[in-house]
Amino acid sequence: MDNDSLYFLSNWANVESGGNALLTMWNIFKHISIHHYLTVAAIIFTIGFYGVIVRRNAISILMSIELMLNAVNLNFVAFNQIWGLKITRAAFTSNEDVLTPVGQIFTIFIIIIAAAEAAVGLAIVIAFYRQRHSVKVEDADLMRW
Amino acid sequence: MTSMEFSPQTIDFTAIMPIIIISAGILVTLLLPFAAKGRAKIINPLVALIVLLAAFISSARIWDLGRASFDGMYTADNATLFASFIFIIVAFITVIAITARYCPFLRSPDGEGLFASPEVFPLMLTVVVGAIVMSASRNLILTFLAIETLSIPLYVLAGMNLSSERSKEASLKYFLTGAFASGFLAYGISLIYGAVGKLGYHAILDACSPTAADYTLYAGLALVAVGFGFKVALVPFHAWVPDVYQGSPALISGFMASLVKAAGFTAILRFFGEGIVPLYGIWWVAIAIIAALTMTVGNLMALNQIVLKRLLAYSSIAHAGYLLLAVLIIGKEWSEKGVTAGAPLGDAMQCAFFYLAGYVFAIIGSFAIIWWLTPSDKEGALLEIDDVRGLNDRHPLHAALFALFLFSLAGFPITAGFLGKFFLFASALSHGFILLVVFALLNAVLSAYYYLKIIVAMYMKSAPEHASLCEEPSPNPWIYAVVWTCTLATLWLGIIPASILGLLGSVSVGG
Amino acid sequence: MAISFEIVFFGVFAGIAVILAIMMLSVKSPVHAALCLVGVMIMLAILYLMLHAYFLSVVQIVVYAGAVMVLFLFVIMFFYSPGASDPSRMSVHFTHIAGAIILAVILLAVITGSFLLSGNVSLTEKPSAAQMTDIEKPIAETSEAPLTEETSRMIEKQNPQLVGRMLFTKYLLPFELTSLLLLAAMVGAVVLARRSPPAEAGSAGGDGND
Repeated sequence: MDNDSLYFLSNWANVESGGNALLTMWNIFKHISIHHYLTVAAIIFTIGFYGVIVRRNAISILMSIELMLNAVNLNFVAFNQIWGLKITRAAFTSNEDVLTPVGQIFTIFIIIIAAAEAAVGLAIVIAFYRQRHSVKVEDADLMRW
Repeated sequence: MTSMEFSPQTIDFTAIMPIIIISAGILVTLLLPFAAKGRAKIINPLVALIVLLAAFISSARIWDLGRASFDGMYTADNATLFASFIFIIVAFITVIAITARYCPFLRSPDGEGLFASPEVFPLMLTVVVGAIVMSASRNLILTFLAIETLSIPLYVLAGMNLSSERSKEASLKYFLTGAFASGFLAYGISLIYGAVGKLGYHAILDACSPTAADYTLYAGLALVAVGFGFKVALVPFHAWVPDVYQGSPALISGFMASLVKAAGFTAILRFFGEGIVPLYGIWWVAIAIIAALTMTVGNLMALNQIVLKRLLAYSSIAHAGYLLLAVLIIGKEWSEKGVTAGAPLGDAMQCAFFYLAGYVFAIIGSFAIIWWLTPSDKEGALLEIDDVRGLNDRHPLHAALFALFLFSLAGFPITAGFLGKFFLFASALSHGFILLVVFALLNAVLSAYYYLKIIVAMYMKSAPEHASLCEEPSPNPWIYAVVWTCTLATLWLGIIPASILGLLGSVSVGG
Repeated sequence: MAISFEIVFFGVFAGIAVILAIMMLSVKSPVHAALCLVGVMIMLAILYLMLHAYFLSVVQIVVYAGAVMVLFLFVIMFFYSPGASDPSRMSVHFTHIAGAIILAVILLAVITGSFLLSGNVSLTEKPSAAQMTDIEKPIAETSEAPLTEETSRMIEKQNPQLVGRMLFTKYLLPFELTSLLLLAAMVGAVVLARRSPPAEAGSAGGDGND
């Protein structure tokens, strides 16, 4: 088979050349690519980051951290779509031990870690609540923050 | 597909034997309290000690063999093993010290509440496993998981003092910043994966090219560096350290300040040295600036601290700044020579490990003394410099040992701290970091001020009217063992460094 | 050129995910915030499906949206009665708005930059596969490129059989490490969340326990 068809769906559609940047953007945008997924991941990560900074409730902060980790997962799955397939393809030809959907595996590990962090984090928040009757981080003020 | 065949025989079990032993120990120490009631609980820490000893021996047995397992993902080279020795000794000392508190008939009068839970031992062993894997890992997946395995039990250990509000507060703050940092680390790793396609350090090394700029990779590396920076508390990611070290039980603070810092720096040296060293020309400026900032901010903030634990926390930040010099040296050395398997580790690793070994004993010793002196009606988190005024008149031995640890942290001669700083700065100087070394020396002078402030208070001031310290620090043999071990190690490293340097000279990059 | 179905699907689900993420920060009730987070996770699971990560998509819903978020909801119910608004919720400060604007500008710059960088490979002629960097290759099928039998076989091989196989062979060590991690998390959660230390240890310890 020829070099082009080796690539999974490597059919780069003919992009009409736009005169200005906006049209260029649109031309790129309307053909779905990994950038779309990365963009969504970046937006969600930033929202989570913002949430960690502005929220004062420990549980909300924890949920924002979960949001950040979810964005990371999306990033990994999207990148895996490139690398996993590329490496899979290499494995078909060279028979090397490179058949590795690393991105998906890392995503599973992140889900595990998120679960562990949620369990420990919520236990810490409960323990804090028992003594201070508050879940606000401003109330963690016995020592200068 | 044939090469994917996998069987247990392909795993090099000798390489991972230390972590297997400790993992078994985790299960035993977790289940044993249900079987052993009452005073028989002393068996729990004893098991932990035996397990650590066995792990130490099994690490020593593969010294110089350069074993690797799991496709080189886990490397038990001498650097890993030396780091493992540090972790295991630190854990050993801390377990002994906790035993003094934990066992009813060995308990000393103290004010930090009580480690009522036997779970402290499995959690500490989990931290040790995380630290060993972190130092051995050559794959970002494994590194990330090891960092989490190290961190999650530490969040709990920080809050282990069940009666103290400050302990809970420390736990909450540590958890929130730690989880936040994990998010950054993971995002950075995902970008590196996007740019490289694999997460092994060798693959990253091959993908790093200083000529062709790959911004995805750079962004990923920057975010990973931020994640690491949070874990080892580099400025500007240090804000959690003073609160967490102050609020946690003193022994756990010592454990964190020593073990986590050592593990973090071993992982950083490995990642920067074996992973992204071709980009040295790009990252060295950032690292140099962060090193200078970390030293300066740590020392300046420590100057006007009055709470002892906070002061030590800020000083530990400053020490992280000095240690960053080793990262620069290793980058310079290896970007010039190129990394080759089996090559001797060279100056940077030797200096870093010697420095770490010296620092670890001094900081644990200091926190152990603080814990020892804390009266039972007061929290260790509140012990101030004023409280140790005239300590020499009341408890000369404690004052002398505390002074020794502080001298070592400040870097006075005949202590390990002096030689550690000397080797590190000399090596940095010979690699051309003149400005940074001058800066570090100025900082070392600055730091001497606040260490001496404590020593002056202990020796030259009169005791306050109402004693705010332990009237009679317990003559507990366990705590004596801990403090004397730290003392002897500090002096030994400071007076006869050749023994350890000889060992470190043979430390090499694993194949 | 017509817009493909895929981009429409993507736009809808990604859009809902982003809107729900923003709502998570802005709704009053913590329970609603948690439900928004569940929504984000389900939308992401759908995006995983579009990316052919079938196994992960299921794991995301079962473990994340299911187990983890139920844990969150339990704890939130522990603190607040249902429907109660969180008194400590975000108060709108000038600094918050400024921070949001700065973050948004940075984000926009990064996204635009990444799109434009990917776009200036060649807009007039079809670039060859060799000219494109890996990141720029379109990943979705368009009407011009139906899946070949081989590519579908490759995709199938990747999920979930391959994931499972890698997890238990090459990535066995990290996988086993997670067992320690989860054990530590479980023990830690029990230690911290229990109301008071066991009586036995308490009596042995004496002072300082509540």
